[in-house]
Amino acid sequence: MEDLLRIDDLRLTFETHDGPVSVLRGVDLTVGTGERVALVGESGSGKSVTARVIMGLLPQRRIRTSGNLQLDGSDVLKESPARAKGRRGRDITMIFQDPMAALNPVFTIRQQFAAVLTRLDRRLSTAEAESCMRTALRDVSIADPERVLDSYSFQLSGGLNQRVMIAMALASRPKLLIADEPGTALDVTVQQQTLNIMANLSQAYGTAILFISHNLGVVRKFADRVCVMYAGRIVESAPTDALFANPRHPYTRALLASVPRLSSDRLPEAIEGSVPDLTALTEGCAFRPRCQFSRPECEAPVPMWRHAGHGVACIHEVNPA
Amino acid sequence: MSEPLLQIREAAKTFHVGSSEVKALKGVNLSVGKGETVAIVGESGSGKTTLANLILGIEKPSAGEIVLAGRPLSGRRSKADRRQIGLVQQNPYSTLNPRKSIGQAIGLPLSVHNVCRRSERRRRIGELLEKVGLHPELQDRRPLALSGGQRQRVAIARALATDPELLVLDEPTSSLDVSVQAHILRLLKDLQEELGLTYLFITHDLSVVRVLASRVIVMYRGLVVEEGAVADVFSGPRHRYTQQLLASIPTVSAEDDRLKPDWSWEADVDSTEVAEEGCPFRPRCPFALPACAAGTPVLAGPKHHLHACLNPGGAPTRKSSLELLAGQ
Repeated sequence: MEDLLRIDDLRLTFETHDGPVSVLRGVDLTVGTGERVALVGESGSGKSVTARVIMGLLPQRRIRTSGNLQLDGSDVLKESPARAKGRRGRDITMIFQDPMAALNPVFTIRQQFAAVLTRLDRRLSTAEAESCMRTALRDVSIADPERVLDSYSFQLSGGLNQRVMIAMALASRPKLLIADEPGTALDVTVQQQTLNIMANLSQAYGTAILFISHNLGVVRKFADRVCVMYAGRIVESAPTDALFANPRHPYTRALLASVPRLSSDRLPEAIEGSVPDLTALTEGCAFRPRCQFSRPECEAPVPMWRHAGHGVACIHEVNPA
Repeated sequence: MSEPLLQIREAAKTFHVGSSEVKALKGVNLSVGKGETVAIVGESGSGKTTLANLILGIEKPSAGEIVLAGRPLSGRRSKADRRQIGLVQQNPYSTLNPRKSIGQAIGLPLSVHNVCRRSERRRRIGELLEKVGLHPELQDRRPLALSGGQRQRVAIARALATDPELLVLDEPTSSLDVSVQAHILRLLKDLQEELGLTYLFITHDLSVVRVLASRVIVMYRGLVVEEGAVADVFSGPRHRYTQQLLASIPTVSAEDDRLKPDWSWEADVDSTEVAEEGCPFRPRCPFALPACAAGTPVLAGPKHHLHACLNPGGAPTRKSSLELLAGQ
């Protein structure tokens, strides 16, 4: 598969009043054309920041970046803000967590959707826009597009709003859609339906999806490949089935063990300790203080060990004890 | 079951919105034994939060009564009544005042209810913090200095300040990371053992129900549609809505997948169609019979597992369901 998005050793530091904070510390990530890749991790792991760098949504003056970020052949980190703006909403689009907050309550869905379409093509006639909106809404299984288009976001259910967002985000047939915790605010039945619609359309349109989530169960159903993030670095990356059947990094294993199971009424195992302070991290494995397998060698920088599409950044993979 | 601490009889609540009526609860019966954990599950609009508000006295029921430890609670609660029920809410980022210290947050119920003398308050707050696994000195800090998990611990300590018998837990772990959630679940379980607390646990996350609750009540559009021991309901859901709900749980292993009921029907879960008569789930149900439209199905079945469905899913033999769960 050809790489649509390719990130090598991406580092990002926020300048704050209390000094620099390294949020991304060498992220390596690729997304192939039409591939669905999930980025999972806890709050503060850097997954949303990664999404925002790709979108070019971070304030340039407050951050320092290094590394390489290639999207469809062009270097995102070095390009002008004008080019980034031209790409946003066209080649890359984004869906945010709370559809109620993302839609404007004082405009109808029709007004907002039409604005999205005219931004893509200024010569679009009203009739063309109308038919385009109706098709797009039908594609996300909305049976009566007219009613939805005439509504305000607060008149629609969370699930319908989310589907409107998906329709808008896919209207330009983007190469990459970034979905930041989509459906987290929805009921499970609605969430599942939303994800199915998104998966089907990504296949139909050939749109790659970078799916950001903290819910391992949702990721398992949706993604082709999963990247697990911890403290600004990807610690494990594997095809979805391989990752869930055979998680290798101690953090991935601990994270999976903390998920409550249907098959057991035992309490899930919590991960001791807490997420590290990003201002005081050294080069070694960031999970070391919480890891039951940690050894003195873990203080040295950890390379990514790769085998048959399964990458693990753990010293134990390189030289097993 | 042990002697019921909380009993709800035919509780109904109708909200008047302009000229129209919204029936949020349509006659709910519920009984929670002392020391028991009962989970109420359902999607938005099922009435689970309204039910919690009635129990807490935030809303007055339109009909029915709420009995706590044998005494009917009136719409207007006395201070003594209010002391008996504690509340832990979903989002610890919005339930703690950022301008007040942790000590002030926990101290407020202590002073309102005269739990202890002013001179003893600091020590008592420290004890409560220790009880939830936090350092007593944390009481001088503000919520901003705390992580999400720590804040939720503070919220639990505050709910425990008046020594309540019943804790209403409204999605207590939904806004937390999964690794933090595991800590909070353990804490809740330990506190229950230590203090003999009774939990009413409101959630839409069924996988958490499995580990925390002993009995589960499934609500849909203001009605209880299924009720039973967690092991029974999870291994053999009868009501079609419960089946769909269980089938939608995102799971992380093949073992868990096997326990989910088959559900391959594409139903429009956003259907806003409201069934005035008959089963409320009917507009979404692929199994609906003409009879489902006639009258609202009532809860029926063996006492340990009731359901209100005219065309229910297959009943597992009790033995097979227990084997299934014991085998894991």
